[in-house]
Amino acid sequence: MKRKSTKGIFVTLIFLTVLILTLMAVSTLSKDRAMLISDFAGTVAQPFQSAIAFMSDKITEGVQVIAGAPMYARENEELRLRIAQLEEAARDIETYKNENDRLRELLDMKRNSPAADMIGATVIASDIGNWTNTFTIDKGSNDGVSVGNAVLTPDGLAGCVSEVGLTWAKVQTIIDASISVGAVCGRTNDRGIVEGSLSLSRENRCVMNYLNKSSTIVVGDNVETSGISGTFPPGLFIGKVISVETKDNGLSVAALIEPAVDFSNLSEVLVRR
Amino acid sequence: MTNASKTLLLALAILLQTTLLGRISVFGTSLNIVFPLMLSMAVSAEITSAIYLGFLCGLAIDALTAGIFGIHSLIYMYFAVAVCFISSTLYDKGMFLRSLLSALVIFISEFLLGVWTSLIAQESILWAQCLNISLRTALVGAVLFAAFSALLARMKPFRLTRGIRIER
Repeated sequence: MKRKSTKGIFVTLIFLTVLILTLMAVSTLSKDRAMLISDFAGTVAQPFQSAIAFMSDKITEGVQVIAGAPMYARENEELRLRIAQLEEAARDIETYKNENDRLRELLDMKRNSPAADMIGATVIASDIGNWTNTFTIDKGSNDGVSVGNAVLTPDGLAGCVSEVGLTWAKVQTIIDASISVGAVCGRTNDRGIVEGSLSLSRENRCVMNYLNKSSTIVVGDNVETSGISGTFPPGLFIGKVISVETKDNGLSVAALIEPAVDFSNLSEVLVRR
Repeated sequence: MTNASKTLLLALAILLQTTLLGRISVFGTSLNIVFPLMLSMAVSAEITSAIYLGFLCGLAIDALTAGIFGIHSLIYMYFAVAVCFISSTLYDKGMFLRSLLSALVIFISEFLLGVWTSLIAQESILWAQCLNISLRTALVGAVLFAAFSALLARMKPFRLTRGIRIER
C-alpha cells in the first residue's frame, strides 16, 4: 500500500512536470497572444484588480486630504457653521482635480501627436517578483492593443506591450532586463541601444550600449527612440544621461540613463496602437 | 478551514500581491505573501494535496505575471512537496525549525528565479546580487510563514482532501 502510494505520488509529480514543461514550450512559441490559461486568469482577475487599484488610489487621496484638514479648518474659521459641508466639498474637489490634472496631461500629449492612434489605460497590477519589471493595464485585444505597442506617459516612454489578453495587457518597462530599445542622443545624434538589466533595474536605471567610442554624449543629454528597430516610433523621450563610461574593451561607450518615467507611481498610461 | 476557505484565502493573497503589495518594498525586496502562505498550508498537508496546492498556486501566479509560463508552477510544486515531506519529521520540533526550513526554501526558490531571469535575459549572472536579494527575501518570507502558520493553527483542523483528516 505504501509502495503504491509512493508510486502514485511520483506518477503525479512526473505527469504535472511534463504538463508544466509543455506549457512552457507553448508559452515560448506563442509570442503574439497570451496562452488560454493566462487569458482566462487575466480576464477573471482584471475586474478585481481594477477594483483594488481604484480603492487604493481613493484611500491614498483621502488620507492626503485628511492630513490637510487642520489647514482647511483654520482658513474657514469665519464659516464654522458650514465647515462640515465645505470639508466634504473640498475632498470631492481635490479628488476630481487630481484626476483631471492627470487626464489633462495625457490629453495634451495625445493632441500633440494627432497622427498617432492612442488609447488611455489604467495600471491595475504590477509584477510580484524581485527580478522582473512589468505591470498590467486594463486594455487588451478587445480595445485594439497588440504585442509590441509602445506604452507612454506624459513624461516619456514607459515600455512596450509583451502579452495581450482580451481585456488586459502586460507591459515590460524599459528597465526590465528582457527589453532593448533603439535610441539616439538628441544633441549629438549618436545612436545606441537602451537596455535594462537586473542590477540597474533595482535602482530604476537603464544603460545605453554600443555607442561609438568617438561619441560626444555627456551627462545631461536627452535620449529618445531612434525608430530603427521598428518596434518603437522615433522621437519618444526615454530619459537623461547621468554618467558615461568607456567599456572594458575600449571599443565602445556606455551611458547610464535615468528614465523619465517614475515606475513606482504609474497609474495612467497611453498605448500607441 | 475548508478547501473553499483555503482557496479563497489564496485567491485573495494572489490578488493583493498583484495589486497593492507589488508596490511595497521590504528591506529592498518585493513583498511576496503568496509563497509563504502556500508553504504554511503545505506543511500540514498530505503529499498529494501539497503537490496540487503548489501546482495550482504556481499556475495562478504564472497566469497573472509576465515571463515564460510555468517557472512558478515548477518551483511552487516541488518546494511544496519538499516542505511537506521534510516537515512531517519536524512537526513536533517547534515553529523555529519549520520557519528555518521555510527560509531555506524561499532562499533557494528566489535564487533559482534570479538565475533563471538572468539566463532568459541573456545576461551574465550576478551571483552576489542574487544571493543578497534571496537572503533578504528569505528572512521576510520566514517571518510571514511563521505568522501564517500561527494564524492557520488557530483555525479548525482542516480537511485537505475529502475523507482524509489531518492528525494533530
